[in-house]
Amino acid sequence: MDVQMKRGMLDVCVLAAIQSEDSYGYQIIKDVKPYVEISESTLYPILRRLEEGRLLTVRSVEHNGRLRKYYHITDAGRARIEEFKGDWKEMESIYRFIIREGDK
Amino acid sequence: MSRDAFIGELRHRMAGLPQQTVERTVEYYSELIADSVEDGLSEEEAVARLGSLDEIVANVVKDTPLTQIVQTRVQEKKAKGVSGWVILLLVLGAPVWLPLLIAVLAVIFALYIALWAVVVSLWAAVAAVILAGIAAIVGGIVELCRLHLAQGLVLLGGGLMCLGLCVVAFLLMKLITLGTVKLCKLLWTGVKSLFVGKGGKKA
Repeated sequence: MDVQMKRGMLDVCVLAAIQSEDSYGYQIIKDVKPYVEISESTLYPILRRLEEGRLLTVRSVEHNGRLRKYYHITDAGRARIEEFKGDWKEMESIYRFIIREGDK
Repeated sequence: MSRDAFIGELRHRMAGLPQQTVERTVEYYSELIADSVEDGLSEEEAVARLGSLDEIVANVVKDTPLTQIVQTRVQEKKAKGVSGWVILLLVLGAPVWLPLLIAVLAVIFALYIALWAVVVSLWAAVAAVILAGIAAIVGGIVELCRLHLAQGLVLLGGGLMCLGLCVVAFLLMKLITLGTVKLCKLLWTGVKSLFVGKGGKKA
């Protein structure tokens, strides 16, 4: 798959993983891994990028005597997911056109 | 590799990056190791799952703007300080390097002016031909009205030729001007890199 496309998809996947409830690094990887190839070192820049773009916020929570960072989706983050869904519909209609023209 | 060994090596490889970036990265990977261990993995397995250190550090560097890296480097240099000998040499050598520097700058400036002088004079020539063309056409029409058929036609023809030439000349001049702008930009980057290079060596 195209690198740019995959990057954008991963961003949305991570946002989707924290959509229903706040989550932390280890859990996000566990949730996303069955569907998309994601590693510990690829998640890190994605989280940074999403935080900088204010698509998510970070807070530290005490857990077992240490701090764990929880990621919380913002309204802009939810809007990004909706935007992806819209893009996908457009892609789907283009795909159908390509298939149909190919069958002619 | 144990957790501490991994974190130590990670810190070592990130030396030169902004302190904030280093701390944040270490926090992120420490948390992942701790969570993996809590999930039942051994410390070694947890570290192994993080992938190669090369890849981790490369990803961090890719995400750090060059300006920040340079800033960190400069601050490091500042903290170390410039040695007294370097300052002494710079002051004592001033009669030699200062006139040389001024001469180099003057030459570059002169080149720049000369380059644009050529372009401006060429444009002036084109403008002159356009004016001559218009004048000849007007003159030609006047001559024709005065029933001087031969003179009028010659002037009219000459004027049209001038304007025709100018269309071609105009296109050529556009190319020349754009080329000069590009050349000047190249020259400017050359000058800048000259200073960057020197600054690097001195510091």
